[in-house]
Order: sequence, then C-alpha cells, then structure tokens
Amino acid sequence: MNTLLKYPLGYVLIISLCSIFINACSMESSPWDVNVDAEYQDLTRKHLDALYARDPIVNDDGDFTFAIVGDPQGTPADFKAAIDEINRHDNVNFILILGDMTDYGLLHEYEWAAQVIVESSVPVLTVIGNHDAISHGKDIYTDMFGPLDYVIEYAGFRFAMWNNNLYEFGVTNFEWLKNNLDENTIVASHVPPVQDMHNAEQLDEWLAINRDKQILGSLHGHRGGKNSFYWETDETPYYVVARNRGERFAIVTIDSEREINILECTGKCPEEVE
Amino acid sequence: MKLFVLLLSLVSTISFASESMYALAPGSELETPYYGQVQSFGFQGTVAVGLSADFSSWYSGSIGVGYSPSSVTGQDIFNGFLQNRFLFLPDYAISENIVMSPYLGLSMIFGTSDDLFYQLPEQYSPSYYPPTALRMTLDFGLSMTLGERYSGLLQWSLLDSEVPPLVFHSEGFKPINQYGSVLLGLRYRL
Repeated sequence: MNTLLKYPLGYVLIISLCSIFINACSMESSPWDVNVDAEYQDLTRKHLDALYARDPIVNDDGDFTFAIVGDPQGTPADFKAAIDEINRHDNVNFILILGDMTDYGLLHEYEWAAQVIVESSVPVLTVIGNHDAISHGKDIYTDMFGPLDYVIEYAGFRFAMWNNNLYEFGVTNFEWLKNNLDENTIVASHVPPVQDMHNAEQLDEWLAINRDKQILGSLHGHRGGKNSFYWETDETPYYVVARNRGERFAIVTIDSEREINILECTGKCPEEVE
Repeated sequence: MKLFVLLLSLVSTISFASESMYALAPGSELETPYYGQVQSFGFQGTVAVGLSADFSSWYSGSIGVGYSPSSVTGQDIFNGFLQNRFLFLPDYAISENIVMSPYLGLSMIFGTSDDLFYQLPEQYSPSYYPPTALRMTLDFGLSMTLGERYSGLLQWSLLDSEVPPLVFHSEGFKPINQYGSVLLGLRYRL
C-alpha cells in the first residue's frame, strides 16, 4: 500500500475529486425513472403549433414534400445527423418519426430523441413504436409528446398519426382509423400491414378501411432494416422506411397529380430533391 | 445474455465466498469482513440497503434491496441488486485511517413493477424483447476505508442501454442527460 498524500492535503484532494465526480454526472434513482423535464414535455403540440404558424411549402410544380425517419433507437448520433441533414433542405414541410425512438422505453433514451427533436427547425411529429411502449415508456411518451392518435391537417392533406402497436396496448383501434381517414389522407403508423402483430382477419379489416376511404398512402417503420419496402395493394402505396442506423431517412413528395414519390437517403440526399 | 451474466455473478459470488471460508484454519473465526450497506442512486434505488462482504483482497460483493418512490418512477418500485466489485488497481493510503481502493464492477438490478417483466408475456414470440425488469450496469468506483468500521463507496454506473450509443454511435452527439449515474454508499463493518 502506498502513502500517496499526507493529511490534510489528502482530504482536500479526495473532497475535490468527489465534487468533480458528482457534479459531472447525473444521479438517477432507477433505470425506470419517468420524470420528463418541462422543456421536453408536450412536444407534439409545440411542433404542431410551429407547423401551423408556417405557410405550406409547395414548389412551382405543386409538389409538397416532407421527410420520414424510422426506428432511430440506439443510434442518437445517426438520428441527429439525419435530422440535421433534413433541416438543410428548404423544401421539407415537416418530419415524421415512424416510431421506436427507444430500445427499452427508458427515459434517457427518450431524452436523446427529444434533444434532437427540439433542436430541429423543421417541425417533427412522431408516432409511438412498440419498443417505446415497454417498461414505463407509455407514460413517458404521453408526457413527452402527447396523444397516441392524432391528426395533422395541412396544405390540403390529412396525416393520420396512428398507434397500432397491438401487443403493447392489447388492441388496435380500427374505429379511430375508420373515423379519421378520407381521400386526402396519408396514414403514418409504426407497424405495417403485414403478418407481424396482426392476424389475417385484422389485416383484412385494416386494408378494407384504407381501400374504402381511398387513402393516398400508408407509411410505416418497424420492419425496415438496411432496406426499405414498397408495395401497392388496391392501388394504394405502402412504404416501410429503412431503419435510421447509418443515417437513413426518406424524402416523400406528393406531386400535383397526388402521386407519392419517395427518395431514399443515407447521410446526404441527392441534389435533385432540393 | 443477461441471464448468463446473472448466473456468472451468482456463481462468482458463491465461489469467492466459499474460497474465503475454506481458507480459514480449523476452529478459527470467519475472517471475511461483512458489512451492512446503505446507498443512494446509481440506478439501484433512491435509497437502498444491503449486505456486503470482502471475499478476497481483489473481490467484493453486495446484495440488497432498493426503493424508488412513485414521484420518481411513476409507481413505487422495489428493486433487488447484486454488485460485484473487482479491485485490480493498487490501494492508496491518504492518511493512517483513510485508504482508497479503486474498482471496476458489474451490477445486476431487478425491478418490480406492473409494467416490467422477467418472463416474456405470452403474446410475444420467443426473444422478442429481453426481460425489461432486469438491467445491468458497468461500474467504475472508489472504495474508501474510513477507520476500522466504516467504508464509503463512490461509484459511476453506466446502464447497459447507454453503452452502445456511448461506445459505437456517439460521434457528433453530446447528450443533455449525462451518461451514467453516481452511486453514494456507506458500509459499516459487522
């Protein structure tokens, strides 16, 4: 054993070290803390207010553009890079996060996402993902963002932001979907209409609602990895965005013919979308 | 993976404890120092109490129960914890009565809450989620022996979910919520 310092200098050293240590770090009681800082509460309302305060951006050809990001859990740096890159595009009206901002529904993971979201000049709107809803994630999401189902009415379009995480909530609210769709609607939800959480009967009900309401399109996360997926059912386009890891995101444009065009981006987006 | 580490933790604790006891001469008193422990934070409860032992010169462990009130966690949470401390670095004496021992540690935290689970609920396919009621921390700490009876613990614990973003995906991102949590503890030799 070495005698490093003699009393009383040793006491000064150890107290100084302790002070630096404590001040430099947070003191969390539990991994399952739920207290959301006021700055990060009610983000959906704050960003909707910001969106509605702006005039819609529509180019000379009548193109309306927004961005989508899927599953940024566990990669806050990539999430930040994607949001920063989208902010460099002056034609993007808003950003939709298609769920799974967290891996474990823990507060610190939510805070990483919220930190990026509040720094974005372009309004950011979210749907809850299945990972966001585990542990105490439902309570944190509600505090941090707000309602689980809501509608954005903007530039003549309707965006139905829908919670369809069947396993975590025990039910999928198809009635809400039915009551909030029309022919100008794009649905945004975490889980896509494929064999995953929903059984064949539920998928039939879901697709029938979309068909009957003649929606413009349906956007999702959850199943995207490095690759995205696009398909059409009953002439309705369905798209699963690639996971954000690797700074992936997509730019969605609705043209004057109400056709949806999707440009997939990794890190940077090509110039032609600007 | 977590269950493997949990098993490893339990086995190492038991084996070190056994080794320590077998090392005693027949008829002599048990030499392993045991401690009562109180602590706060470090993801192991707003307040926590436990039993601690120095099983060898380089291995120490604690087991105990923590509590976090609903004002912090939404609902009252009791959690168990199992701490393993490995004292590989040299001790330093600051004075005759104060000795500092740096350590690396690995802790398991077991939570109880309606929203947490060990066994995956039946609607999920196997391994859909890891158990949400079980978390691990990587610990970096300093044990300070304060006289013959007391020792303090000052520890920085990094939660398992914080490690990948910190190690692999941190470039260009500085989180507002600093990584990790500080644990303050006091042990009293029994």
